[in-house]
Amino acid sequence: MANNKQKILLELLHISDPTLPIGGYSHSNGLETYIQQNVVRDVESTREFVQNMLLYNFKYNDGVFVRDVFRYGLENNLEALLELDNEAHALKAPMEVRDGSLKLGTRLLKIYVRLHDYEVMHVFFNKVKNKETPGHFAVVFGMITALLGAEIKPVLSAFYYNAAVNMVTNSVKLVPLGQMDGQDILYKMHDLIAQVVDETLILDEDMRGLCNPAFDIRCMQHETLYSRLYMS
Amino acid sequence: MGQYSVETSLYREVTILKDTFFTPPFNVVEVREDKSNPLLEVMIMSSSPGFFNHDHYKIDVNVKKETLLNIQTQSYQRVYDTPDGARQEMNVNIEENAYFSHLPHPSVPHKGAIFNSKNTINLAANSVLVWGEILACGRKLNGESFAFIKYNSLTEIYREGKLFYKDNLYLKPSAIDFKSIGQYEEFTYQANFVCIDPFHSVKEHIELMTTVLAEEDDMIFGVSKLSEDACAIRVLGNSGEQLFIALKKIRIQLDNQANALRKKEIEIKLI
Repeated sequence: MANNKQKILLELLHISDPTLPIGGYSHSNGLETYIQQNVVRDVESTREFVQNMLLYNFKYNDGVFVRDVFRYGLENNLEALLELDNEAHALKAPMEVRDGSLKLGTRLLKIYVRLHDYEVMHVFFNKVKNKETPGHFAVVFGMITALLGAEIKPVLSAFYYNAAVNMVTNSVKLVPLGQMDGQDILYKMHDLIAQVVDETLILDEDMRGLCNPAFDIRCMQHETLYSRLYMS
Repeated sequence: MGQYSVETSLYREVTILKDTFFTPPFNVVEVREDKSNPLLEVMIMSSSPGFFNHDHYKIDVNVKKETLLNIQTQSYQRVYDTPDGARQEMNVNIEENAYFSHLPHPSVPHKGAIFNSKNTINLAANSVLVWGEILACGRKLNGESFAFIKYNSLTEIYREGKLFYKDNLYLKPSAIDFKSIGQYEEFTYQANFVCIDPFHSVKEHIELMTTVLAEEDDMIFGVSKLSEDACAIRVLGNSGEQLFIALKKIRIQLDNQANALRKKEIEIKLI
């Protein structure tokens, strides 16, 4: 029988596994546009893309929602969770990114409602099914990991690591890069992920929901790309 | 504190200014050329060249039921060296079946500028909003690109009391590398634009916006659907004038559509 610490580690490995069947691999969040426009084209530009997504986009947007939802998830505060879910929705202007986050969130819920009977999660899931709340990925991730009893720093680390793996995997396929190049980029992101986790916990609240103009534009342009392998 | 407030009213189906209040440096002037147009167009004149240290402006706009209002600005909004900061709050309330459009001239934060602005917009059911903002990197030709300290413009749009759209334009050059991927890249001006309009098809709006912006060189843009009756635009470019003129074309077309729709409604009423 696994002890509690080991059990939580396994829970976090499971929920952040990129092969979890929620469809994370089918979303590029603008990367496909960047690659077609030849802006992301080699190891260095891929590294910069992944770094900036974590440092400027995830940290101030999805990461903040994981952090805040985690806090309210621990308190079983459904009203606060719903408010954060609505705020996350209001901040996502590019349609495909918004829809992608909803798909991931809903599928993640579908997996976990079969596994656990946390009341707040089931009520939240019913509200998503009844279209009373959107059900964004970061919100669902923060809520479930709080209910599983994890701690915030490992939760944020798992969330950002999952995002980084998806970005690197997509880059290896699309740029394309060698498998070893991909591993180099990902491995060297460990320090940055640790830094972004710390910064998420103390960030200037005025920067909450920071707009990343060029990322948003590439995500919006993806809707009309001539050929598309990814959903965003 | 500089202040102005605008409230509309309906007189024989045409929108008029009802209550207007302003303190220096502001003046509110009607600029509608054809007085029979249902849409009221006003311009905010200002005797100040921009924001100075400690300046605090407060703006209230009340677009009453079934009225149509467009507010224009006179010139670029400069934010000077403001070591203790300057700020602006704008509250807009759009009542049922009313229309409001506002695309101010670009904001130009000079070297040393610290600026905070908060826009809160409340829409009732079936009301229309056309809203845009343009931000310059500073006085580029004077070598002052991203030489300001902080520029923050937070816009929150509520529909029937529920947050619908939130945009946090927050620039702190010391904290973010603006030249890098995802931020401004090779550009120096940013524009955000949003249109919420239950009376026209969002698809048509997106087509109009895309057509107008695709004619421009030296800029990148994206247009996306926010919901079945709303869409947003993001633009990066290298000329504030170019961005302003292109978005103004869109704003004027949307104003004209609102005018035409209202004229039609008035004709039906008269029959």
